[in-house]
Amino acid sequence: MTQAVPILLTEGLFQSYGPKLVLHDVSIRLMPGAIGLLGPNGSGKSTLLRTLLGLLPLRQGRATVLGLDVATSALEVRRRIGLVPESECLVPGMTAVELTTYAGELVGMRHVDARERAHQVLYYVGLGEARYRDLGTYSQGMKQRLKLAQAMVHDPDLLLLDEPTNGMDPPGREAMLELIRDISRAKGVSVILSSHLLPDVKETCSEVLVLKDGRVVDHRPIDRAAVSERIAYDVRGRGALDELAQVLRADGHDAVPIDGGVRVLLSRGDGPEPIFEAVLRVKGEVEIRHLVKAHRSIEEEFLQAVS
Amino acid sequence: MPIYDQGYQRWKGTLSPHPVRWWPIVRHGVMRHLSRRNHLLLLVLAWIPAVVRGVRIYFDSRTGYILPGGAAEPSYFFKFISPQGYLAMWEQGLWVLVFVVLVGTDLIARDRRYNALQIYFSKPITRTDYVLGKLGIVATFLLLVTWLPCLLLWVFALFMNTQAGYFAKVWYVPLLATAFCALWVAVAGLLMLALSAVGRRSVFIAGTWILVYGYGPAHGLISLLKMLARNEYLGLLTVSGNLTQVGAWWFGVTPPHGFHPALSLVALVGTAALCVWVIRRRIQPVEVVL
Repeated sequence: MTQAVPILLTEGLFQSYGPKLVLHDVSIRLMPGAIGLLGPNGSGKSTLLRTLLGLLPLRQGRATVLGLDVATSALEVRRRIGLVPESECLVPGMTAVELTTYAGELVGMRHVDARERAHQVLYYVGLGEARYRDLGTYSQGMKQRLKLAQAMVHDPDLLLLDEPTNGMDPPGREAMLELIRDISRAKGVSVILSSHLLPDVKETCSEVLVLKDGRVVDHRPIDRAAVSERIAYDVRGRGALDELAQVLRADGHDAVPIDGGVRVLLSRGDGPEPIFEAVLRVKGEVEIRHLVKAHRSIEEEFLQAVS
Repeated sequence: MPIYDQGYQRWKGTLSPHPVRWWPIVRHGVMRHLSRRNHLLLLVLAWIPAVVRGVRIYFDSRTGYILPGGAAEPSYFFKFISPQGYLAMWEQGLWVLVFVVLVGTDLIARDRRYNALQIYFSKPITRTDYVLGKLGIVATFLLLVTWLPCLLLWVFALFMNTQAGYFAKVWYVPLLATAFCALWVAVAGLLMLALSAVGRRSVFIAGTWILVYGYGPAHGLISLLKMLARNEYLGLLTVSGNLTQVGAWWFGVTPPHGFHPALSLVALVGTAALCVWVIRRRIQPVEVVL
C-alpha cells in the first residue's frame, strides 16, 4: 500500500520581508484534502502562500509542495498548483475566455487545449453565459469566479485560495463555497483556503490551521475543533467571580469573563474539581449557582488560539 | 443537476511547456494587437515606403539607369531604416515611433495598474520570461516595419539589378540590417519597457519615451543646443542620435555627429543596461510595502 504524499510539508520555516520576520519556525504537514488557513490580518497567511509558490526565497528551513522542494523546483511547483489571488488582478479589455486560455498557455498547455479547457472551466464556475463579455463589465462575484477559473484551467493538484469570497454578496459567497466543496470533495483537488472568515473555513474544510504573528498556534480537524479536547465550563453566580478567575489562571487554567460569570477552560482533567478547589482558595465570598459544560464553537477556539 | 457536475472533468492532457516560456506572452500580445483593425491599417501604411521603393527599383532596373540614391549602395538601405527619419513617412523611423508608443506604453504599466503580475508569477514564469515576452511583443512590430521590409527590398533589388558586381557590393546588407535592427529594437524596446514599469499613465510614458529617445522636437532641441554650444558630444544625449551614429558607421555613411561612433555604441549599451536594471527593480513577483 502506497503512502499518500503530503501536499505541504514545512520544517522550521522562517520568512521575512527585509528585517521584518513574518513567519517564525513554521513546521506543518498537510495531507490531501481541504485545509483552512485561518488567522487575523497580518498573521502571515498570504506570506505562507507566496512562499509555497516559490515567490519568496526561503530565509531558513525547508518547504515541499506535492513532494517538490520549493527552493529548487519552484517552476514545477507552480505548474502543479493554481492560485486564486486575494486582490483584484484582472485586466479589463479581455474576455473571460481569452484570459483563461492565456492562463492555460502560460502554464504550458497548447493553445487549442487551453481554449477548449477554458470553456469547460468557465461553465463549471458559472460564467458560461458571460464568457465573451469584457472583464470590465463583471461584478465582483464574477471576477472572483473568473480568478478561480484561471487557476483551475490546467487542472492543478492543489488550489491555493486567498480570501476567495472577498467582496461577494451572500448568494455569490454561498455559490463560491459550494464550488470549493465540490472541487475538494468530488473532483479530488486539494485545497488550501486562506481566510479570516471562520464560516468559510467551517463550511468547506476538513482541517484548520491557525496562524498568529507568523506562528502556527493550532492545527486540528474541523470536526474535532467543534468540541475542544480541553473541557470548558461556564460558571455563573454571585460574589468574587473576578477573583475566582484570577485564582484559576494562577493554577494554569484559562478563564475569560462571559455574561454574568466566567468561562473556564481546564488545562487538565475533565471534571470540575479544579474549579471547586479554586473556590476554597478565594478570599472573598463566591456563590456558584450555575455550572455547566460549555460547547465551544470553532469561532471560540479560533479566538482562544489567537488571543 | 448543477451545471458544474455536467461540465467539469479532470484534464487528461499533458503539460508540454514551450522550450521558451515567454513565447505565449509574445503570441498573445501580438495577436491582441493584430486583431485590432486600426493597428492592422497602420501596419499596412508602414509598408507603403517599402512598396514605393520597390516600384522605383523596378523602374530603375527596367530603364537600366540607377538614379542618384538608388539601391546600388548599402547606404540606400540604411536611409530606409534610419532612426531619425522623422520628417517624412519615407523612412521607417516614424513607424518605429508609432508602434513603440502604440504597443509598448501599456505593456507593463497595465499589468501593474491592475495587479496582474500575480497572475503571471503564479504560473511557471520567471521575471526574465515576463520581460522577454513583453519585449518580444514590441520587437515583433518593430521588426515588421524595419527589418522585414528592408530585407525584402534587398532581395527584390538583387533580383531586379542586372549590373555585374552588384551582389558583391551589397551581399552583407542583411547581416548589417539584422544587427542594426536588433540593436534598435533592443534599446527602443527596453527603454519603453523601463518607462512602462515606472509610470502608470500612458500619456506620461509615451511623452517621456519620445523625449528620451530624442524624436521630433527633442531631436530638434538637441541639434539647436549642439549648434549653440558648438559641442558635438551633445549628440550622445538622445537614443535616436546614438542609433543613427552607429548605423551610419556600420553602413559606411558619414555619421551625423563629430565623435567616434563607438562612443554612441557604448552609450546605447549603457542605456540598455540601465533599462534592464530599472525593469528588474520595478518588476517583483511580490510587492512588499513595509
